[in-house]
Amino acid sequence: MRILQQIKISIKSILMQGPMLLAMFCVIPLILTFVFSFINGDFMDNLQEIPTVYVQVVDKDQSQVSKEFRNLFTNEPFELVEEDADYYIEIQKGFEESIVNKETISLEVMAKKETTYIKELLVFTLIDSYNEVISESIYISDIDTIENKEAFIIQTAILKTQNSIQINYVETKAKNSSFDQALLMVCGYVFFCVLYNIGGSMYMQTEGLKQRVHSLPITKVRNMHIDIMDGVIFGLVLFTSSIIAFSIFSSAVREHLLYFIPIIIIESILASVIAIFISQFLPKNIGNLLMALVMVVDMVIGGAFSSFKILKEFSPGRIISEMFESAFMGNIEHILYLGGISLILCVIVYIALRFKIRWKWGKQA
Amino acid sequence: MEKIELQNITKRFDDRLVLDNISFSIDKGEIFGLIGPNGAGKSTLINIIIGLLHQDNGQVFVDGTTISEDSVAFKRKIGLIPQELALIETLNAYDNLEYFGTFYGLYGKELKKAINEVLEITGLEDRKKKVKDFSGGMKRRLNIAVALMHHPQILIMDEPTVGVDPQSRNHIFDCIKKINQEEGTTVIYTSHYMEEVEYLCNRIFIIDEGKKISFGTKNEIKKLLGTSQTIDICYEQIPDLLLEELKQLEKVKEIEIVSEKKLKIIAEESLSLDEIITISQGLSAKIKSVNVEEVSLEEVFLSLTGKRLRD
Repeated sequence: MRILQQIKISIKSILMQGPMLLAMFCVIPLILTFVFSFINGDFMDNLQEIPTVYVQVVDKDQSQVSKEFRNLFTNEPFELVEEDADYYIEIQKGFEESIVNKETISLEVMAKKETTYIKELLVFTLIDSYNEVISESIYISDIDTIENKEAFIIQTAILKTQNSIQINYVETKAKNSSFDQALLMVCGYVFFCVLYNIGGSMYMQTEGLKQRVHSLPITKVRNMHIDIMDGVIFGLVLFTSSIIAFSIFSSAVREHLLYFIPIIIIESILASVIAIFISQFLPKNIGNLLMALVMVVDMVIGGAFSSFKILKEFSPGRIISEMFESAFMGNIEHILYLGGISLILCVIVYIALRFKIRWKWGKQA
Repeated sequence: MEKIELQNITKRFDDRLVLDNISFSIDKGEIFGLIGPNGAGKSTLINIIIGLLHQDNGQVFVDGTTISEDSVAFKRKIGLIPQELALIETLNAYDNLEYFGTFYGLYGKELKKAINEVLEITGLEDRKKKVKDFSGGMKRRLNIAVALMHHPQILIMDEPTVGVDPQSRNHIFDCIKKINQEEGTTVIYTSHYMEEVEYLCNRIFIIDEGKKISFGTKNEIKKLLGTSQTIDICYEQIPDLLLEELKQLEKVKEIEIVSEKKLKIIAEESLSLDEIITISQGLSAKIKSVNVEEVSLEEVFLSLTGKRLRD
């Protein structure tokens, strides 16, 4: 009952700060994502040069039509390879027969590497163009026998059924767009912003509020639990808000929303426990400096300049970024694995906090 | 009888001695004044009493047991009004009271009743307004209301009137007197305003630079100065025998002739004007004016420490 009441008040207190927090956790991350996706992403590639796309096509049909389709990838900017391809395309048996019989064709396209938006665009544009060409040729071959008025209706119907090479796109290491790539950098920033806010609010507690909290009939350990709970609630509300904001612009987020639920919970616990740890162990100035430094380092080394892969390995926000990446791929096992590691870290930090309180307050702990 | 007892409390911050062997006891139901200039050690002492700070030496006993033995039980009995505002500014008055009230086991109807009660006592009606939009006086009153919700047996008020307008200050004084009289609440009141402590408190502990300066009732402390009252009397003419007769009065310490027609009587304790008038009339000395001045604690403090409280 008491916990529910406190949760209610905590949420109310966060929501009361609405516009400022909305700006910090929704608007700024979105702007940063757009900026990074432009600077670091494919927009520049698009303007400057067209990259070579390495494609491996396995033709199980071995028909005339399937060979023609395979040959499409011999022209620039594509290059057919037998291994180490960006994309793996499998032409199923019966490909030619399906086209002749005006049936839906199933085509499996698998991204094998971390590809870019421009490469993805090139592959799918080519397949779409091929799709339209075969649809049109079928329409033209039938048109002579049909009345003009009916022709239009039938043409539309044919286009609908024939323009239907159904692409089963299997995401492995690929991202859907440059926006999503940038989002992987910005999610670390959001994490550290939440951490910084929780830690900052602990440091900003007035002397009066500290006195009042210490005068409440609760143990010091319970007081710490309340602080952690408040931090977790803060994280839950703000991480959820930022995910909702991202989902407006990212189909990868939108389509995998459920995968973000465990991430939000894990992020909130991690941010809260670390922030409370810093505020308990370090004096205000050093603690604030440390949190700001970690955030900037993450943004510069782990985020904004993510192409420096060696440095990225040591980025503190990497674990969060990897969880997001796993969510894009729908890889729940990896999310839970990383979540497990995070929770172990939380437990270690929590034990250290308990020891500190016990050591400082003795019987009063 | 619930008694708070501080024995030989010593506290250092690094090398600086902020409390030096402080001892006193507070009886149940009294309004106890802890007075001293800024930086005297009052708030440190309060922080030790509520368990926010550890003393280096000494003990705090409540009813014979130390706070550390059962700090939660002790804290249920106290209500703290910190010097700095201790409120959640983004919430309204009602939500603040609701939040802190739950820590004292108040729920549902009981909680609502307690909230309405303290809002009425403190004269806060606009409970839906955010605290950050409150005036300074209203914030102070809400700060007090939070501490009163659970009907504490001991109310600790750490300079509750700092930055408060006179109207709110009077309201706060009325609250304190009412709670003390109606509920028998023990009040520990710290301030650097002597007149507040003089008005409210039964016994006063004066502290400066962490050291005890004086402790006792108002009159006991004033006696330390050896003077309690000065009376200036203007006569049409001062008869020869008047000085001798007035000096015979028991409480008169000294008489000074200010001018041909004016006397200054310095008394150790409060002197009855009737006696002076009777003696004067007996000698046909016509009194033109009388001015009585009580010695203030401020003057006592000045005399004992050589500095003013607000220095």
